[in-house]
Amino acid sequence: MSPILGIIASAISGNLAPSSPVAGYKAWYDASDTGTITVSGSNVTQWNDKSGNALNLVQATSSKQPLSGTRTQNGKNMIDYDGTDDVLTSNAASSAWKFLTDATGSTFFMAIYADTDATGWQITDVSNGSVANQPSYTIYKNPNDTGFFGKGTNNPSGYSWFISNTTQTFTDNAAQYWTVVSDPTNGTAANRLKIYKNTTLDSSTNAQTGTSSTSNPALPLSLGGLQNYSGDSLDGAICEIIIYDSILSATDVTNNQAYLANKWGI
Amino acid sequence: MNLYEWETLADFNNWHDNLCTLLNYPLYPVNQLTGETDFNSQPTTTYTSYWEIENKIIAFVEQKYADGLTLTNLQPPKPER
Repeated sequence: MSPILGIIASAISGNLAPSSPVAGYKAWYDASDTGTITVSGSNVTQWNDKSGNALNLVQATSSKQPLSGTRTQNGKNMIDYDGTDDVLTSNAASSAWKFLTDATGSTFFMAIYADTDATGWQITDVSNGSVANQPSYTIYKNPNDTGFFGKGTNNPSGYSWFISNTTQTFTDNAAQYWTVVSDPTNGTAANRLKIYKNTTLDSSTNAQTGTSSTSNPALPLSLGGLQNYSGDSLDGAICEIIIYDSILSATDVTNNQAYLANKWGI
Repeated sequence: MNLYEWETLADFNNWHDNLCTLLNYPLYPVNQLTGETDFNSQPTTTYTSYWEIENKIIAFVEQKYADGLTLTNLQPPKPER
């Protein structure tokens, strides 16, 4: 079918999901685009950023390399993590990821497949956890499957802003997409973090009114696990991650959610 | 993978260097779509990484490479949340 006929057919059927993410992304990782992935066997050594900003993810250590070409969702390739120590880390300087931890707003989309896991796993990390009071951007699945989202300065009493237990839960053995909108300067403290599971805004709100961090994170962004720790690697697979250094409008959030839902059959 | 322990970092490095040689590291990857070797992409240069816990060295190792190694009950550190 020609592209024009395809558009007409989609319009007639009511399927108007965007075919690409909203422009302006800072980083974009798309597991279905295998031309952006390099492998040794099935082990991923590099996953290239499609944004044009060259924020590529790398892993030089064999035991920490997730797999590609081994699992699909909606007929599309996913990056499979072992739930033990797999992690991919940006090869950029940590300063490239400062927008995630300081007063800059950000919007983070992730389409993932969660395997059954009775423990927790963490999908983002920019901190050296052995040091208190440092910039952090943490998206974590609690052992009870609720979500934990923390941003800003990590210290023994918590984060600058965080939601410690979402009302909605990560669904085992299912693909799903989550959205984290971070708006640190919002005049209403409760609205400084908004979390969506698929298209549903979570009723949990930001619980902290700390100050934003101003220094660079200790480490560049890692996806799917922790850089200096172990045991909290994603038990599941990543379909696609899109990151903005801006606060997307509600319409743009909806459009990206529709894009991910349609593409990954969620 | 299981966790194994070494008495000293020198012991670990000796074992790890031998394994990396056996595995012909560095390994240059191929583009998954084209199958062509990509010398500008991240090569695999090491097999595993270690932690120093209670004066021992511990690391994850696949069973196929673990002949002669000692299993451990020590665990890597976890961040506080």
